[in-house]
This record gives sequence, structure tokens and C-alpha cells, in this order.
Amino acid sequence: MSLVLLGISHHTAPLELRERLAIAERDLGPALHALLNHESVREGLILSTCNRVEVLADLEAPEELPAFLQTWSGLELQPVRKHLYERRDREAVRHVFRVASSLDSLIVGEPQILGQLKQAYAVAREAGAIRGGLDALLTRAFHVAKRVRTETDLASQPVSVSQAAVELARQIFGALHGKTILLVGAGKMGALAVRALSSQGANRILIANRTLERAQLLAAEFHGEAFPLEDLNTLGERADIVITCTGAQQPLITPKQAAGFLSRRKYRPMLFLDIAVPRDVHPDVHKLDNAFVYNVDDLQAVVDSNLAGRQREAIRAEAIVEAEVEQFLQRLKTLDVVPTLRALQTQMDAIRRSELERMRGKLNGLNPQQTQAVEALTRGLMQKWLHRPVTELKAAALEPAGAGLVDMAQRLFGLDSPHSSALSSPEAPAPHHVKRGDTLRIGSRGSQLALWQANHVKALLEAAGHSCSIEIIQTSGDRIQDVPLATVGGKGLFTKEIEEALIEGRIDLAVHSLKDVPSELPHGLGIHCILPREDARDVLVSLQPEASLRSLPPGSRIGSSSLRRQAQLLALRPDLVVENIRGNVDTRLRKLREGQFDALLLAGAGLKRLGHSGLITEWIGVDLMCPAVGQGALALECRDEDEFTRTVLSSLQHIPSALCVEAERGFLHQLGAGCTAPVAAYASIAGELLNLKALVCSADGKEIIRGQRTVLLGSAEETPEQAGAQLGHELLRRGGDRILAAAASQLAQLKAPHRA
Amino acid sequence: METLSLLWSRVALSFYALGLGLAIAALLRRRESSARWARGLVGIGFIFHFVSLVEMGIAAHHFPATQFSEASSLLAFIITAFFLAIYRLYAPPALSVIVFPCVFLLTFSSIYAPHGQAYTGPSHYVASLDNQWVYWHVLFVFLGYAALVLAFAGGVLYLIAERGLKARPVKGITRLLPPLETLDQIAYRSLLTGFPLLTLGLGIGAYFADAEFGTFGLRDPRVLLAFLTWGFYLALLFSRWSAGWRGRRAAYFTIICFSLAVVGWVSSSLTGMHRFLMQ
Repeated sequence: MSLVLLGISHHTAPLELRERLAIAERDLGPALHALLNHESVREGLILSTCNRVEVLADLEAPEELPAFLQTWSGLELQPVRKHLYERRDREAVRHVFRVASSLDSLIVGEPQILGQLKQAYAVAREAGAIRGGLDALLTRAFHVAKRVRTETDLASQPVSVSQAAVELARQIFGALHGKTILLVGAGKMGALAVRALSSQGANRILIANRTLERAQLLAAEFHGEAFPLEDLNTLGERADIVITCTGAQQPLITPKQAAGFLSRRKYRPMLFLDIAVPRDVHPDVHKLDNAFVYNVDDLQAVVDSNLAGRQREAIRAEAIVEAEVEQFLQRLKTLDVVPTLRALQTQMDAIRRSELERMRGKLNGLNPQQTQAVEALTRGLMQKWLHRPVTELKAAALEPAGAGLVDMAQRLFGLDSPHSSALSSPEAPAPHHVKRGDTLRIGSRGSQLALWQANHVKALLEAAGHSCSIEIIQTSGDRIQDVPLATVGGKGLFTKEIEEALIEGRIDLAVHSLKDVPSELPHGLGIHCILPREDARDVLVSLQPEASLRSLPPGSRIGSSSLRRQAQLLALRPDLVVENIRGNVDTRLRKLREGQFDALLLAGAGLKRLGHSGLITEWIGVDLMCPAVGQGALALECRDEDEFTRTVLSSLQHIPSALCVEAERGFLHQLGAGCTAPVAAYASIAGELLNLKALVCSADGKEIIRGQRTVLLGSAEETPEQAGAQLGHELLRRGGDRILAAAASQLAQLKAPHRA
Repeated sequence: METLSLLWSRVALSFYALGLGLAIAALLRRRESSARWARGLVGIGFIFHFVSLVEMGIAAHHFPATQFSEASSLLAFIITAFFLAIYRLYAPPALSVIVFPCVFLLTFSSIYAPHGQAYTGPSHYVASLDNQWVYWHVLFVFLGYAALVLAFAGGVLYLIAERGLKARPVKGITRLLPPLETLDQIAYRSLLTGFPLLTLGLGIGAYFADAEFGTFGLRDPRVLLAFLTWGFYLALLFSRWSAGWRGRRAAYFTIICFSLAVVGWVSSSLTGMHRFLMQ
């Protein structure tokens, strides 16, 4: 068996590329047939979801996979080759196991991927594309996923507020079938919670609202009953779960009322989910026996601790996968009967030929027909004698106990254990194979801020029990200090040398301010961790302690290094003088003290990290000044093939930050803007909703196009990245394209004098 | 105890110990396979336990419930049987973490506790040991106790789970336990099953004592405690029906009942038999 997997996923490629390679469900059958038409392909499987497209095959000629994908999608693969990953044999097995266990997912532990893989498997079986080895592999993968699910908390812990509500309800009631939900207030979050709970079987739904019409509207959706809010007193006792989300200023449900509900329902337990702010359920209700009250903060606390737990669990899950890979390969090795059969046939044929050769002298008198007959006779005898052993061996290969028979055959016929299978041969070690116990080398720029960040990551890794060192690498961005950033070739400036060091294996991971990282990464490298995000806002720094954007006197000189801030500032205050400033934070602060500027605009997170927050006179709200994509977030990059470092890094990942950043980068990618035009995007999460704000503006700030978009997290409708792309698309359509084009041509003019 | 039966008891005890260890592992590491193994091992222990009891009975020529060691062994056996029977209904490994130690301790004490002297009282009481009513009395009372052990397990776990759910932030331990309502039901249904059995057992005992010895034996602390336990039992069930006491209060109440039963049991380990029989 020779496994090859070719794929593209959210780790390696932007959405637009994944979309172009995606294979719609109804086309899967024909695609599998096309795959099987390739000569060397024995078996195949295609998994196509919104996050990944993967083709797995058992085949002789690995180059047939890209060929297939190219023909099928009609997309020239060579230019996008760096977005594709190829895994062979052991790596392919591990990849399939990791995907099935949801370890490779964007939200690690999310349950959909297993269903999608099962679907892909069903389709491939239907199409006859899965028969032997792949069947064993996939069946095992499902088993591994089940083990990971039951033996770790990877998937069992809810990571959204409404899932947390379901989890609590289950811990109180067990199965939710036949439970009654009372929704008080017909708001969006409340409806969301009801949907989550009713999908678990709680199917009697009562809705009480101040205006009856809204209650009726919602009741129609859930097949529930609607009541006016005044009925609350009589409704309460019927409900096992009460969800409140009204805008009332005073608690609607007092301890006395709740005690009444409980006594009238003979103290069967009640769960109150209070998602209203201010609270609808008096906190003292929680003190009653058999009443359990959880407000938004309590639910969020469950989610937060689960997120932390998930990351710990991921490491345990990886260990399970690793052990299973080993076990699977071991089993496969002993069962890999084909080489034995081939060796048997070859050996028998060799004996036959040598005997014929020996007899040639005595058979000289034969005419060609007779020679042919002798040939056929000996061959026929050989086939007949081998028939039974061969069929028995083939049958044995399908049973776990068959290995013994294969061994026996090898001994009886004097065959060397011939394992031509690529799976059993150990792989050549990767050039820079990092394993547990090795010192992780962190690459960092030499600037004070970069070193702070590197040390921060070092501390995190050391807390997790890994030893680390920091290697300082100078980038061209550090060397060129006197030129506006936009004119010297975009953002790769601060990352290029570091990424080279990564590829060459001089360092194992790199710490970047995410906003410096271009939306496309070099082949073989990936962002495998986003750390919890700092405050993403920009700040105003001035020697006048009261200075704010609004209060600066006209004509004040404001220094900023980024076009984005300059343009947004000009849009707010066209009367100010905005000037470019470069250099590290200390240089800039010195220029401020020397009086070259009246105030500076900087990223708040960096100042805070360096302990300069005392100088900040105003944190500028994201609505006034939208931050850069990824501002305040630290990204950790490592080699894709470096499984160990990847696992270590993914254990540090902060999922909410990662989701926000995903959305922002989706937006940036759609614009393809790099650093040349002032664009900004900022995503934040409230409950289950991710809100993305973004803008594109002209350098002079005279023209600004703003937009925003909300995504329901965990829904299949739209990923954060897709939402970002959609918003980007929308802004382009509304005139953003014109602004970008203008910025590009301005840049060309700016660059021209430098070359002279 | 006869050596052969002692040997089988020890074998059973080892299986119970392994089962207990695995049950804890199953709970903490959430391995379904460990939970199955734990139950399997306890099941095997159960079979050896049965053999041991049969050996014991054959050697003593009577139902093995006349000495403390015999009685402990029998009670452990009945609890195990009860647990294995309801395992199908409520599979959570959490329950076994409370029940298995009880079984283990009882079996352990049946082997290693100082053996009560074989009965050497006046001869007409010996005759009473051949009266099969005694055995029915013991069997039903023990079944009642077994149910009480399960109710106790449910009650303890309920309190742990409830504390976890009331805590801020919510404690992770609740995730390891069955849902609150299930725990409450386990406790309730066990009580509901156990109560008539205990009533029957005590009734037979009282009737028999009255008929044979002309005394009800209430001065015997063992008997007194048994009736006190029964009284609490009744009050518990009644409060549940009438006042809707459930959850935490019921759990506390169950634990009190259980404690009374344990005190009664330990006190009998000192006398070896009902004291009124020894007078």
C-alpha cells in the first residue's frame, strides 16, 4: 500500500483558492471515477469541505494526484503549489487520523469534520473507490476519533455560550427530551439558546414577551406557545429551563417568586439561564435548593475555562493519534501480503525457468509447437500448485490473525520478508527534526518590542515545560529606518529574514506582530498559533496630559508611521498636520520630547508591553480609528512539517483571538492590499456573534468606505474568514477598488524619486 | 471460616480490588473500556464470592449468616449482586467508586476481622438457627441494606455534583458525574426498592423473635438501631411524597440513614450476633 494525500486547507490557503478547488457533493462520484481512471490509482477518497479539500489515494505514481486535481478543477496548479501539502504513507495516516479527530480543524475539537469525513467515505464506497486498505484506514480513523472524543475533553467541552448552556442543562437534567423551556423576552440571543436546547430534545417551548406579537412570531418558528409577560407567574412552574433576556431594569424573577415556582412543581430542579444585562433573575434565586441560576458571565466563565482545557486536551489527543498511527502501521505491515505473493510467484517462476534451462539439451528435438506446449505445461503446473496458497494468503490478509499465515508462507517457501511497501520502510528524517526535550529556538527581531514579545513567548513555553532560547535576527525593515514603510516594498520587510531562518532550520519558531505578517506565507511555513490578543486600539501620546483627538488645537503636528492612522486622523481632523515618523518606540518618544511633534499616534499594545502606558493620553475607540488587521495579536510561525513544534504551538492558541484575526485577514486578503493602501479591520466577539468592522480610505482621508458584518460562530453558513472576504468584496464594490487603484498609482510616483 | 472458602474469598477480594482500581481510572480518564473491564472483574470476583459462600455454607451445614464474618461476606455479595443488576440501568462508573469500596471493605473484614466465636449458647437457641425464618430475616434485611448502599452512593454523588454546579465558576468535576436528576433518581428508586425489603426483613425478625423467645429484643442496641434506621427510612420516603423533599435534603437524609445502618453493623461486629440471643 502506498498512500499519498494531496490537500489544501485553511492552514495553508486563503478561501478563494480553496473555493476554486472545492468539489461539490454531487460531483464527488464522477470525480472519484475520474481519479480511479488514472492508471496507478488503486483506491481513492475525496474530502471537500469549506475548510479543506483533500484527495487521498493508494497509488503507484504520486504525480497522478496533482494531475487529477488540475484536470478536474481546471486550475493551473503550478503557481499555487505552495498552498498545497502532500503527505505520504506514515504522514498521510497521521494526517487522516488528525483530521478525523478534529485536531487539524480551525476550532480544534469541533464535531462537524468527523461527519463530513464519514460522508466522504460513504460516497467513496458507493462509487467503489474504497475496497481494502483505505477502508481499513478510514475505519481506524473513525475509531481514533471516537477514542479522542471519549478519552479526552477535546470535543466534549462546549466553547460557545449556548453550547455551555446545553452542557449545564445536561448536567442537571441528563437527556433533555420532554423538558419544557420558558423563554422570557423574544431577543436574538435568547432564541439562539432556545434553538441549541431544543435541538437536544427539549421540545416544549413557552415564550413570554411584553409584546405578544413578537412572542407569537418566535413561537411559530419553534412550534411553541406565546404568552404575554404578565403570565410569567403561572408559566414559571411549568418550565424546567427558564431563559431570560428582556431589557427590564429590575429583576423579573425574585427569590420569592422562584420559591413559589419550585414548591408548586414539587421541587423538581429548575435551571435559569439569565442572558439579560442588567440581570432578569435575582442572584439570590441561586441560593434556593434545586434552583440553578447562570448569568452571562457564568456561562462565559464555563466557555473560557473550557477553551483553556481544550488546549491541554489537544496534547493528550495528539498522543493518542501518535500511538494509533504506530499501531495501524504495524498491523498493516504484517498484513501487507502483496509483496509476499509477488515474491512467491517470482521464486517459483525462477525455479521453473532454471529447470527448463537445465533440460534444454534433452529437449532439443522438439519443434516450436512442442516447446510451447512444454512451456505451457510447466507454467500451468506452477499456477495450479500455487493457486491454493495464493488464495489462502489473500484471504488471510483480510483477517487480523492472518499475519501468522503470511509468516509461515515466507518460511515454507524460503522467501525473505519482502516489504516493498513504502509504509513499512522508515522515512528519511526531516532535516530539522524537533522532538520533545529539544530546546526550541525562537527567532526574533532585535527591537525592544520584538524582544519583549519573544521573551513573553519564551515564558509561556517554559511554563508548559519546554526549554527555549532566543535568536536575534536582523531584518531589512530594521536596517531601513528613514523611509515611509509603504514605499519600501510592503510588509514582508519585517518577516523575510526570519522566515528564511525558519526554512533553513536555524530557528524553530518565529514570533511576529500579526499586523506585520503578509497574508501569504512562504511555502512550508504556517501560522500555527495566535496568542490572546492585547488591546487592539490605537492611542494618542502627548506631553500635554489632557490631549485628545478632539481637543488638539488646529495645526498641531501629529506623528504616525502608518498610512492607515494618518488617513483616518485626517478624516476626523482635516485641520491637523500629519507627518510621517519612523524608528522604534524610544526613538519616536524622543522626537516627541524634542518637540518635533505635538502628539504621536501609536499602537497601544506595544506601548503597554514596553511599560510606557503612563504616556498615553487617550485610547482611541475602534469606531473613531479602526485598528490594523491583526493589531495587538501575536502570531507564532513554524515549519508545517515540524509536528512537534506545531503541537506545542497549537496548545497555546487562543481561539477567540484566532477567530477574530481570521475574519480580519479574510478581509485583507480579499483586498490584496498589503500595506500600500490605508485599510483597517477589527473583529470582536460577543457571545456567539463575531462582529467585523472594516474600512478602506484614501490617503488624504477625504474618502472613507466603511462596512460591517456579523457572523454566528459555529454555524455552517459562513466562517469568519468567509465573512471577512464578503465584507472586503462589498467594500471594493462600493468604491474601494477605485481608492486602492489610486493608492497604487500614488505609490508608484512616490517610489520613482527614490530610485533616482 | 473454612480454609477453602477463605481462599475463594481472597480471590474474590483481589478481583474486587482490581475492579475498584479500574473503576477509579475509568472515572478519571473516562475510558469506557476501563469501565467495562472494571465491571467484568467485579463480575468474576462475584462468581468466586458465590463459590466461597457455598463452601462456607457446606462446611457449616447452614446458611452462612450466623457469624460476623459470614454475614459480612454475605452482605458484600448481595450488594454486588444488586449493583450488577442495576448496572444496566445506570451505567455511570461514578457510582461504582462509592459502591465498590463498600463491597471491598465488607469482604476484607469478612476475611481479616477477628472471627466471632461460633455460636456456643444454650442449645435450644442452636435449634433456632435451623429455623429457616432466620435466613429469610437476614436475606431481606441485607437486601434492604444493599439498596441503602446504592442510595447512599447516589446521595453522596448528588451532593458533590450539586456543590459543583452551585459553585462560581462551575466546577469541572460535575462533568465526571451523572446528571443531578439521574443521581436523585438512583437514590430514590433504591430507597423505594429497599424499603419494603427492609420492612419485610425486620417484620420477619420481630415475629420470629417474639414467637421463639417471647421477646421483641428492643433493648438490644443492634435491633434498636435497625428500627431507628427503618424509621428514618420511612420518614425520608414520606417527606419525599408529601413535601417534595428531593435533591440535597433527601441526600443528607439518606446519608444519615446509611450512617445509622453502618453504626448498627459495626456494633454487631463486636457482639457477633444479636445480643439477645447471647444472653
